Amino acid sequence: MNEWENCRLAIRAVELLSSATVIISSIEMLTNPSTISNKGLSSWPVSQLASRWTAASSFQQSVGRLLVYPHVLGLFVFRLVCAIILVSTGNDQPHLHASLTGLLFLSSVLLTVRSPYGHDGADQMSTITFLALAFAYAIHSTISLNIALWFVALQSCLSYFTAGYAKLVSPLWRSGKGLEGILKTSIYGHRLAGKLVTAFHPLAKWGSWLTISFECLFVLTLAGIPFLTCLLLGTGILFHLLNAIFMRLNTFFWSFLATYPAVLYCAGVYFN
Amino acid sequence: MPALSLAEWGMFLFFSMYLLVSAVCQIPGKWTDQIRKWDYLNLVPAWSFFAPNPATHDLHLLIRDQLVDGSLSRWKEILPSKPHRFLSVVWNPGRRHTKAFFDIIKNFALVVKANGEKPELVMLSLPYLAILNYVSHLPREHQSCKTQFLVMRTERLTRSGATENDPFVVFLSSLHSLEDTLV
Repeated sequence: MNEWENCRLAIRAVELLSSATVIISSIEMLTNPSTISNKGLSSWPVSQLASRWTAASSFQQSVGRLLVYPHVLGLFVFRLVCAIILVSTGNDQPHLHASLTGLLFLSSVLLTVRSPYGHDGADQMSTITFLALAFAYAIHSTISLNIALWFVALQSCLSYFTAGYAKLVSPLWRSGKGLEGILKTSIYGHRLAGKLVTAFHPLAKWGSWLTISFECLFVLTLAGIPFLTCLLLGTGILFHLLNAIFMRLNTFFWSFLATYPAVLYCAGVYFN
Repeated sequence: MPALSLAEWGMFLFFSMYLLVSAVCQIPGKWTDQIRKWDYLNLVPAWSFFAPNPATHDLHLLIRDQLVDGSLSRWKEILPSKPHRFLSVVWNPGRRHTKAFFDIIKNFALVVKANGEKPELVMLSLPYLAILNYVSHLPREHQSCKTQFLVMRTERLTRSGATENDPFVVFLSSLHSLEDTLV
């Protein structure tokens, strides 16, 4: 395959995995919309007061109409439909894919503007990825696809390195107490894992250091050593799988794995 | 190196700048705070997940009502810990609610810390209004005219790793009329 085909294949893999994040999140929200209802924690009548421009009548009369409950549910249906079309159509229709990824990016931004509460890193990563995909498809050249893939790969490395370094400088993380504490909370914890790390503290310490090492070293995926790239990405898959099992971070799995094809491409390991 | 078209140059410069700003903003400081202040669309990512100080505590929201006869009901916890379900590995529709609750309380604790001596500013803050709106709309078993909420924290690890076992009161609200709900 030539470079053009390789780029397209890598972009397609990124797109499919990112779309999976949107499909899961949208269906989750549509089945349990109470949080974004007017009576919920992320209610629009309250969160529109966050800034002057969202509270302004000009905003309310225009974009704001989309954010009112229950109209906002239509936005989730729209996102779901966009993601399904992206998955079901091949990327030989760049204009369609540019429009859909662009709309997914814009709707993500709108939902973030609607309420600052309830969003996570998985949302951030998929928003960034869809922006890169939209530009890549809009220009639709080998160079634009390369720029998008490098951007996604470098954001991925930045995210792991930042998370790893922030843990490395933390006494709580280095001692293992941080991981133990998290696993004992009700929001991100796991009853069995919490009991296990309390009974056998070295487990928490090893878990912490493994996490720190993996996150700090993830940037080496781009070093051009195929074995190292595959080892780190394999560890990443296991890491996100464990996070999904023990911390219930299910969409992180898809949104961060969506960056892996870009890493593989940029490392010259696969899609080359 | 192949010649870049104008659109490709534009894309290259835009994403290079985006990456640079993203990297700079991972370093805590005044500059970063300033950039994030202008980031209305929340496009600058924050990647320091659960670090450097992970949330090693549980936050609890409790409410009590003033009944029509003037008496106060007993405190009731609103968001009890839900048992872990295996399905949540792939399907977790409740995560937005728990994350929103966590974000609001975290934000609220910062507001209380900054404006502790000015309760009127605390009461006008977004997290306070969000909690009040939420608790005011909860279904009630009895006829209530006012409501009050309490935010508590339990099982917190200190920086040294020691555990504070006693529940800690983050904030106790005033009594608010249930007739004056925002929506």
